[in-house]
Amino acid sequence: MTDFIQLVLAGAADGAIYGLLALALVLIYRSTHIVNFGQGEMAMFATYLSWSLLDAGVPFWGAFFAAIVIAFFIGIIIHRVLIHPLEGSPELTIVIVTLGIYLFFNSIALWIYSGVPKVYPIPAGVPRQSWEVGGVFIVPYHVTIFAILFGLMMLLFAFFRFTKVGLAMRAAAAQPLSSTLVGISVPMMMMLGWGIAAAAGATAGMLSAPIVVLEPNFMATILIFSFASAVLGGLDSPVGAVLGGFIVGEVSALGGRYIEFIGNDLQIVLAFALIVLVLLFRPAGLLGRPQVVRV
Amino acid sequence: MTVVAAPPLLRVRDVTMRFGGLVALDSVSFDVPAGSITGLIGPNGAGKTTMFNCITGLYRPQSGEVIYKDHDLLRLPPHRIAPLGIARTFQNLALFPTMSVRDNIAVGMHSVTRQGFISHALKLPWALREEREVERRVDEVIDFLGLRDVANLPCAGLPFGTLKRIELARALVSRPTLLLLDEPAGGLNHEEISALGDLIKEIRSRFDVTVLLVEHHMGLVMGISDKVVVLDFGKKIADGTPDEVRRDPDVIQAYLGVDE
Amino acid sequence: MEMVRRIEWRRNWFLIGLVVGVLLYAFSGPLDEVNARTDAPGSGLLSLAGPIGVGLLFFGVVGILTLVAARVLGPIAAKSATNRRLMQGLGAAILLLAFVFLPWYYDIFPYATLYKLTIALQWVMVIIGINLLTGYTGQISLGQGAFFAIGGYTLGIASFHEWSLPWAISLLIAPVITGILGFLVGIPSLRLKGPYLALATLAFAVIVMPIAKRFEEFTGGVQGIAMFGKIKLWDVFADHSDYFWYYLSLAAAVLMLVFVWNIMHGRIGRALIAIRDNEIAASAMGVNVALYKTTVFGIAAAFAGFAGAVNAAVIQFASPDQYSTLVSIRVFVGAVIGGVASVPGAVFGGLFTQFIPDIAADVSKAAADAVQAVILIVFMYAMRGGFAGFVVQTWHYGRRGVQLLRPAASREPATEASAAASAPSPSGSE
Repeated sequence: MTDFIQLVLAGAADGAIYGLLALALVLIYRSTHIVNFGQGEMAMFATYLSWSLLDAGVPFWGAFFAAIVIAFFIGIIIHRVLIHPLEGSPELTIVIVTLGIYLFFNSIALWIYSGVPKVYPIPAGVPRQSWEVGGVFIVPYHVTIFAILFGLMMLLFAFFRFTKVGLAMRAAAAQPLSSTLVGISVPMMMMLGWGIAAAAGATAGMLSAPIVVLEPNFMATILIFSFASAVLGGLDSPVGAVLGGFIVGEVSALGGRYIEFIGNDLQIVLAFALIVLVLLFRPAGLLGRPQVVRV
Repeated sequence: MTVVAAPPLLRVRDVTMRFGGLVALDSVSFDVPAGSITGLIGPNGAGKTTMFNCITGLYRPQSGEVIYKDHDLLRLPPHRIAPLGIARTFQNLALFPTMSVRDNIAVGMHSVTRQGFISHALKLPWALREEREVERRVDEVIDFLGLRDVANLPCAGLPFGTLKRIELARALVSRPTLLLLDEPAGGLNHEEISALGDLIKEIRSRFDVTVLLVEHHMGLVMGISDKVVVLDFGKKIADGTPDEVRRDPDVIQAYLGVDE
Repeated sequence: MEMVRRIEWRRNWFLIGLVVGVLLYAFSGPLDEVNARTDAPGSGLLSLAGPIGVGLLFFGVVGILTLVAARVLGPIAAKSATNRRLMQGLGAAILLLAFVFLPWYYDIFPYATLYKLTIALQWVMVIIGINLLTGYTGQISLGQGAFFAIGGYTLGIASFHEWSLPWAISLLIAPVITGILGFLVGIPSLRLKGPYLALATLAFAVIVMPIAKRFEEFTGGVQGIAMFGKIKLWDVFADHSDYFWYYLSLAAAVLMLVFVWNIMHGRIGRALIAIRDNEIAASAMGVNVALYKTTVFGIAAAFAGFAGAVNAAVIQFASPDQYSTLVSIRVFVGAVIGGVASVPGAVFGGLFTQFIPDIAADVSKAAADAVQAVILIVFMYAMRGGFAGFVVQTWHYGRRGVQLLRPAASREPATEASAAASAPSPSGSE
């Protein structure tokens, strides 16, 4: 039993990270209807930047927030320079450009930082020693991840619910044409969406780096898990993305343990199966709105 | 009136189609007599195009039958319907924008040609023979509809009226038995519409085809149809010759009164 | 100054690029020396000048040749369909001869070796499949690298690791297996469109290697399957194995190109493009959309599988390292840059996939993908049709008449600005 609880806890920690990156994917999908294949690599690059800052002696949380801010601006610049001019282009073109973003950041990171894995520290002030509660070990770092995810969710919720800009962003995503008529600059809102998504992605990257190792391809696998989470939750539902993240985290943790074939190496196959099953049988995901197709 | 008495080519029986709570077609039944031009009219949202999409397999109604010759069309996937000799045009144009006009029309021959991947990849003699036949038929219909000047241009960017004729050509090239025209007069001006009426009649006699016509433009439908079916809010409210329908009080109230 | 403002940039960029390219290339030597003296990260940017110069030179030369060809041969081709077909045939024959005799003169090209050219031809096979699937039928697949890998493993497992079938038989089994697999992958893909399909196929590409590692007894796990010296060619070829593989790859690539070319010029090709352009209308015309899509998936996968098997035979190895997810993405990028809806474009795409990393490695080994990414993104803005699209556009431009300068503007700047803003639309519909 304790073993099971232990697994659930570990699965939830992974799930929180998938949920965060999935949240980034959803934010971009909602604002621009683009599936951003470069999301993971953007996050990876931001994580490297924070590593550089740490390496230069900046304290952990300073580097952490600085990287988030830089990621936000990278997101904005990418939208401004690459995505916005392509508005109305065929889907293939946009898929290709986001693949370009993937390749670009992947190889830039390889170029600057080389492929040698780097050790990324857990945040300053978080104890390394696990707490034992009734035979179950609770990893303080996992608690940190939950706290950050929870904090970020609250922040985003408040932002989209109570601030003028947040409301405008939601309006622009839901009704671009009417929003323009009431004076909301839709491109500006899309740009903000890319910025916030990049910031959320960077957070996911920096939180996962201590668990895995920091190397240029480290987000590629996490991206697939996050795609599974986002698709499962419904690509246009931020709450669904986080929920999907937890489900995917648990499914792969428990599946890896209890399905012998899966083991530790094939958890990604579960993510793939989830993606395919959801897309086939419930394309709108758990919380997404079904799309109406007109002839 | 002899045509109306002809045995039906298409029999629509009790077709009901619901989208969620909305009943788009409510137990609609009518016949399309062989060799006739049958008009399907009704105000906006009456369910005309929905009816068309049911006949061509794009929608699956919850109940009812659409019998064409011996086939229940509602049991067939969309791509099995064209080979039976049923061709259609679309209300909002469904051409292939990147292909040339000629190739667009040639796609219309797909349902009456057979050769597959292998024989085309190897350029087997029968594939080549079939291609020549396609070319000949496409040329024929290009000349018939006066599309020679634009034949080698890509579709995208041509004027609306021309695109409508290309769609018609694409439907006609397979020499269908039943031709479904979805609002052929849409977007055309007055002279074009009267020319269109003559054209549809000429097509009927020349290609020996039965025409089912969905149309907004009353003058056109009343002028060329042998039989008219009137839908209103998904229900059939009248069915008969143009004269009968014109005198029908329900029709006058539901449609003519509003539209004129 | 007035002259500069009136230059027709959009149409003549490659002519101007030619001049810039020559200059960049000329100065790249000194820049390399500057570069050699510093070793700060990113200083390699300076040595980008050389490759960029070469790239601009290349487009300039190709552009000028196309313009000349359009002026000289264009009128003849326009006379009749027979003339046009003759010229296409002639062009294809020249290209084919160039490849047939390539082993005698490849060393005049920088970076080229017979081995690399052989592998480039294998990329051509994968890419012509992508062109059929993505370019013509509109199904984005980022998973072709997976079929490539499966093809390679099929050879290794069937001939050397598990069973000992003759390698030639395994080469033929590989496309059958991947073809069937591709057909099966195509079935769920029927319900997916655009980016969703891209996503699912990318995920497919990602999971193949973990699965391969898992079945260690079959695949050799992380080690992979080594075939060094085990592939015994028939005596006639035994001393010329590199030539053998080159010509085998060439023959296979040519067959596949001809296969796709023939298919695309007839009933099936029209149906595929119809599916890409308007699925509903295609099915209303009697096109069995589901069957055609899955068949095309199968064909593309079979091409990739055969390429993978030949590739494994050439490098005599099949291991997880050589089949990363990036392979899928790189060939897709190559396909797009060559011209994703063009048969000749696939040839260029294959060469690009193989040689761009080499060229980029001059700047930095790690930067190869970055250079590809930049080229890719630039292409998406400037030349969506890829290299093949560039040639076609330039040909039409040449046919209409080269125009270096815009007609003198006599109106006030305001109208000029609006004219410039609306300029892309007429050329966009070409």
